[in-house]
Parts: sequence; C-alpha cells; structure tokens
Amino acid sequence: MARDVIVIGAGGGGPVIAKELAARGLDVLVLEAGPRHAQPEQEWRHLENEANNILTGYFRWGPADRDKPAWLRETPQNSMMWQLSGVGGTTQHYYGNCPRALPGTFAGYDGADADRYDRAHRFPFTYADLVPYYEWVEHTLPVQTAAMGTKESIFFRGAERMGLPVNTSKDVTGDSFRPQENAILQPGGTAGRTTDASQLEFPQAQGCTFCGYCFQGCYQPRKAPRNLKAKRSTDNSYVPMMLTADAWSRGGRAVELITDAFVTQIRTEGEGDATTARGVTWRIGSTGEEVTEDAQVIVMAAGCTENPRLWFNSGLPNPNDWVGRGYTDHFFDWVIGEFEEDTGSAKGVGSSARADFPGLGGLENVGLPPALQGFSNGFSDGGMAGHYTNGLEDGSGADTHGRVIGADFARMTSDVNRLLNVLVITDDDVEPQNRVTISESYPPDEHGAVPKVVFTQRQRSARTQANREALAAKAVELLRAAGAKATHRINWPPLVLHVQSTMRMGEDPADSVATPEGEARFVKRLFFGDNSVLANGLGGPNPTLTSQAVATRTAERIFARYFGGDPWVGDESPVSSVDAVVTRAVLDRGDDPALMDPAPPAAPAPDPAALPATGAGRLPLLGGAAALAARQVIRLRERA
Amino acid sequence: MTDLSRRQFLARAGGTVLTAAAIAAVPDLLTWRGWYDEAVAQEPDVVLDTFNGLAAMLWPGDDAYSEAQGVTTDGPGAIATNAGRHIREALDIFVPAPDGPGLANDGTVPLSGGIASMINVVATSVNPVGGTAPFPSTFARLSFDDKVETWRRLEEETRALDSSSMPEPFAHSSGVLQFVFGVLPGFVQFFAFSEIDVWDPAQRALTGRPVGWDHASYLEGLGTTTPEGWDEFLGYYQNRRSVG
Repeated sequence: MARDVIVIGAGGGGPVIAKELAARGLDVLVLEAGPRHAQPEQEWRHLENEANNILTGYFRWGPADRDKPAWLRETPQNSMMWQLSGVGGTTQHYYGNCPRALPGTFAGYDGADADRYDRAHRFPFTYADLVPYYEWVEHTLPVQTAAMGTKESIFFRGAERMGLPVNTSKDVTGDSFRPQENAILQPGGTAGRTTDASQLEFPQAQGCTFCGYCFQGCYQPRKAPRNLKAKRSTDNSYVPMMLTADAWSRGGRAVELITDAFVTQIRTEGEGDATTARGVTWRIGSTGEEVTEDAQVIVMAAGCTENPRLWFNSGLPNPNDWVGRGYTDHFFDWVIGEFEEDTGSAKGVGSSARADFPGLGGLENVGLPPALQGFSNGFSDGGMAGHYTNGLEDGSGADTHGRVIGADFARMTSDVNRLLNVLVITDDDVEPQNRVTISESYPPDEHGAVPKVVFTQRQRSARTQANREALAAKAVELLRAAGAKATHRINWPPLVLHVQSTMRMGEDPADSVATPEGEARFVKRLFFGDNSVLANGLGGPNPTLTSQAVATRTAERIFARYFGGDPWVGDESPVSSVDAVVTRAVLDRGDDPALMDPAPPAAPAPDPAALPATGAGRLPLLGGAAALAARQVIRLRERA
Repeated sequence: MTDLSRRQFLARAGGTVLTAAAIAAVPDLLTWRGWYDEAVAQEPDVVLDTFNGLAAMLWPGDDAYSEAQGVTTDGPGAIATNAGRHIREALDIFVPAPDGPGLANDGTVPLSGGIASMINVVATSVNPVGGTAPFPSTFARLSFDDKVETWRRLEEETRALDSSSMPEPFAHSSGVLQFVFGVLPGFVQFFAFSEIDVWDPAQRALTGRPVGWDHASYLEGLGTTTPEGWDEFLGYYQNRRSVG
C-alpha cells in the first residue's frame, strides 16, 4: 500500500512539511541521504577542521561513513559550495538568523521603492498572504529577539554613528539596523554568565551559552533534551516534532525517518501534461541496495543543487528549460575590521546583529574562531591585497582589497578577538545563466550523473553588482564608524551558503518550475519543500525562515488538494517545539539517550484525548521560552 | 607569460583537468591513466615543497621557507602548522575516483602532483633562475614578490582562458582551474589555524595546542580545552526582548 507522502531530504525544509502533515495524521516517510547525529554531545566537537573540513568533517556534503570521499559537484569557476548532508541539513551549521523577506519581492507590492527590486521574478502571492505562515513558524521554532554580546554592541555602535534608525518590527520598511530575530533560545540561568563548564549544564543553564560554535553544531546546553538545545536547527526543532507527532497532536502520526538513503529516481507515469509522480527509488549507502516505494505525493526537499540533479537524472520534463535556472546566492562579500579593543569575535552566537537596506540587501556581523577567520580572508576573487586585483576594481573605500597575505596577515590575525567581520548579503537578481545542469566532465557517481553549478559572477546583472558594491561601502562605513583602525574588503567569489530559487515558483509559467502552491508545473503530485522553490533571493534576508513559512503553506495545499483536508494556519495555534508535551515525548522515547539522566524519567504518555487538536488554544511562548521549558523538564523529572 | 610558458602551462592544465575533471569522460581507461601518471609524476618532496612555499607566502614565520622568500615574521608561521602537507593531502582526496558500471568505489584521484606541477611551470616563467635556497620546488625558491607574481598569473591566466567553447571534457576546464587556484589560499589559511595538525583521530582528541591558536590569541589560558560557554551576555539592545 502506498504511503501518503514521501519527503526527499531532511534539511531545513523537508521536516517542516513532514511535521505539519504528520500532525494531520498522514503516513509520511522522510528520506535523508546523509547521517543522523542523534547524540551530538558525543559526536560533535568545538573544533573547526573536525567539523567544517568540506572533505572530511562531520559537516560535509557526503556519506555518513567519513572514510568514504565526499560527494562531488562540478563548480567551473572560483567558488565554493557549503551545503551539508544529514538530518538538519545546512541548518546544522547555520546561525539561526530568521529575518522575514522584503515585502518588495512579492506580488502586489506597490511601495515607492517597488522598482528597486527584481520585479520580473516576484513571489506569486502577496507578502500579507505569507505573514500568517511566518507567525506559525516563528512560534514553532521559536524565533526570538537576539541577546547582545561584545561584537554586537560594537556593530550597533557603528550603525548608530552612521545615523541608521533601529527597526523595532519584524518587517523591514527602510534602511535600519536591529538585533537579529533568531531561532535560538536566548540565555537563561547561568548561560551567558559564566565560563565554568560545571555550571553550564541544563537545567542550570538554559538556552544559548555563548559558546561561539554555531558553525560546528549546537549541543548546548549539555544534558538538555534534544528539543531544548539552544539553536533551532531542524534537527533540534522540527525533527523531534515530526518523530513524535502522535504524542503532541491529536490524531497525529509519527514520521518514519530513514537516513543513509540517497534518492536517485523519481518514478512517474503518464506523459506530457499528464505526467504524475508515483514513487521514488533510493540507494542505501552502507549496502548499495536499491529500494523503491510509492506514495500519493512526493516532496522534493533535497536542496537547490540536488533537486535539479534528481529531476534531470529522473528524466522529468523541462519544457520551459527553467529547471535548475535562476540560482540566487546573495552574492556574498566579506569585510574585516581591525580594532584596538576586544570584539569578542570568537564568542557568542555567530551573528546577532544586522542592518537592512531595502533594494540593496543587508549586512550582518559574523564572529568566527580562527580557522574560519583564516579561510574567510583567503577565499577571494580580488587577488592579493597590495599586489594585484585579479581584474576587479574596489569601490568600497576599504583600506585593502583582496586577500591579506604575508606579514600583514600575520599581524592581522594576531588576535582573533580584535576583529569584527561584516557579511555583505546582496539582493541579487534571478538570472537564467546561474544554474544547475548535469556535468559532462565528471563521471557519474553511485547516485548518477553529478551536478554542475555555474555562477557567472562577473557577468551578473548591473543591479546585482551595483547593490554589492554599495553594500560593501556601507560595511566599510559601519566598521569605521564603530572604531575600526583598518578595514579589509576580501571580495569573495561565490560562497554558496544562502541558496535559493533553482526550482522557483513564479507568476509567469514561462520562467518558473513550480505553481504558486509549490507543485511542479510539469509533474502532478510532485511538490517542492525547500529553498529551491523560493521565487527569488528575498531581497537579501537569510532564507531559512521564509523557506519554512512557504513549506508550511505548501503542506496546507498538499493536504487540501490531495487528502481532502482543510487549512489550519490562522484557525489554530501552533505547538511550540519547546512545549512540554514535545519535551515529554522526546524524553519518553529516549530519542537522544546519551543526553538523559542515568535514570530517564518515565513520565506517563499523555492521554491523546487530553491533547488539543493540533495545538488549538495553546498560548504563545515568547521571550522566556528557554526558562519555561527548563521548568517543565524539571517538573517532568521530579514527577518521574 | 611568454608564449612558450603559456603552452607549457596549458599542457599541464590539460593534464590536470583530465585528472581532475574529465577522467571518465574519456572512454578509454588507459587514456586517462596516461594523463594521471603524468600528473603524479612529480617527486613527492617537490609536491610538498611547492605547497610549503605557498604556506610561507600566505603566513610567513621564522622558518627556512620564509627566509628563502625574504619575508619572515617573529615566531612560527604556516610552515610550523604543516599546512603544506595538509593541503597536499586534501587535494589528493578531493575528486572521487570514477565508479564503473554498477560498481561504486571509495577511491580518489590524487591532484596534488598535477597542481604542484602547474605552479612550478608558472614559477619558472616568472623567474627561470629562482633563488638559491636548497628546495626542489622552483616556486618555493622564489622571492615573496615572485611568488605573488606567480599566483597572479595562475589566477589571471586561468581567468583569461576561454574554454567554454571547447569540446567535452575540456569545456569549462579553465573554470576548474579558477576554482583550484582561487580556493587554495583559503584552504591553507584554514588549515594553518585549525587543529588538524594536532588531532588524533583514533583518540578523537588533541595531542597539543595548535600553533595557530597561540598566534591568534585564541582560548588563551585554556590549553586544549574548548569552552562550553562564555560570560559574554550583555543584555538586550535597548532592553527590547521582542518586536512587533
């Protein structure tokens, strides 16, 4: 008997759709190509090479067995892709930043600055349409206003001296700065107030401990149940919920998750307009065995590069030639400021401060430990500072341009906590030549032909390039205003971390792959559940929140169209991933047994009849979510 | 770059591209094996020497490579972190070996020899004589300025090559080289400041404190311990805990 839904990929988006549909009682299977790090306190380290080496680290695009080589992509330009396999996907190393998209990137926007956005590639619905889904996700994760460390205080000082106003809304309407809205449980108890490790275990410490290792994966505070870890990567939020949906939603059904399962084919029946998805075939990495299952609906959530690859390798139709096209990556750039004071760069959340410039993009501070700081300097398209520019001109006004090398590099890196980095996040245009195809140069691997990712960074649209130059200049201005004694613009080539829009939904069927409902235009019963379906680069904001909001909306559309259900967002209240009922389920099932006390609490399973219908009537958990959750766990353990 | 050296460079580039990017697109296995053999024909010490020369250029210290290039700093630099060795090892596991029909394998195609060869070919075009240091790599013998000029040519020449209209497997091969020479400095500076050189994979523990940590004043006083948290919480900007 066919499943209801198969979701391909357990990254930032797939678990969202899986959790929502599982809460409705559907039979959902999630397939993940990489590993599941079920015991992060044992498996992860606060060490940069061990975590972030793209070839051998535990965070890489590759199989669970780290003795095997990483999976390959062809990148025929100076660039680097930084995606991760494994449950949680790239949210495993993200900073939890959850800004909403710019309203100007949506249909119907008629603000005075409407012409400053990529109007040809807007979302096919209004910003107001998406707001209820934002609110649903923001409550579920939950998203909170970020606390401040030293590096944030310096960033804010620079922004204030630039004359920027502070934004006190979730919506961006003008040039402004603000603390990030972050999917991170803010510090409670001893967290953020001590460096004594013996005082930093849950529940004495709650939420973010300011360890400084977001990019190496969050397992803080130690001994917290998995759903109460500080950073709300999906492996800490939506995945625990989808695996326990029967426990917190009346009529819910737990998702089945299979890891080490690389989907190699989407099987269809019919032809042309009648092409319909029927099932998938995956390869088990450890054995090489191939497995096939059918489902009523298939959701592609394998990412902006792997979704097009799987589409092509499955021989699916591409009549308008837009599959894989329109790749946006925010065309990052990087500016380093040197300070004479302590910046706390290697401490705290990776980024808790940002400035937004509608029509241009945004800036955010980034703190790094030393190896990533070194990489961020050495990864450049702008030559060697003071020696050559590799054919690029710098309009930012920075003191240097390109990689800092030699004795200058030795001097600059002599104290990592006297640096402050600013990431330039460009509002970049959807351009068809930036795309994913199938490599003809590299051989196929065990999963079929490998993807080829092309970014023509020096031929991007005039608007994109002008936006980037303007933002780099603002980054320099901000750092100098904050007191930097020297500024270095690195001029990165594409560092493909924020990924969007390769299977984009759009207003125009001629240049979009998905309908406004998130369903493939050319294959029925096939949906997209990740960043690839985003219509554009959102105007610069980090994409995960919007991707999760759209995924929630898509889940509703799937449920209504193919399972005869009614939408729920707006009519019900979501259950937070830190709600006691979720925590109890996580504890009961020993989801992460190494983290439990020696005698895990044997709290009775909740009476399903006592549960609210998919969260109806639950109150929002706002700023004190971490503390409240801690009290709940204490009560649960005492009861046990 | 002279015409002669450009031809040499392109020849080497073609060899490396075949090993790196196009091996299985060539139907005859022996064909690519031939290229492969050429690419790895460099003596291993030349290969390591080349990447040591790069490491010293990017982060000089008080070592022989830095002295040979005429730019040193007080204290250890990237040479002391064995960054050159780690780059060589990374390049040799970057590209998985092609799988046969129905046969997956876990091998990789070593690239370090071919890439070191290309660096030294261009280094020779910059300064055919080089310095007097007793290093087998031409690049490692160059002055700091000549090394930088070598890298400029590697980046700018590969960028100027237009391989987009070439037949497969050479199409976009210059882009592959842009990738290689573009990212190598970043990888060197990553390895030099990471724990890779003092990591014991069997014990999953550090055997000492990384050189880069000391240089970067990172985790001072903590030895090999990484913190679980910091007393870094400064409150909320304007005491605002939530926004509308």
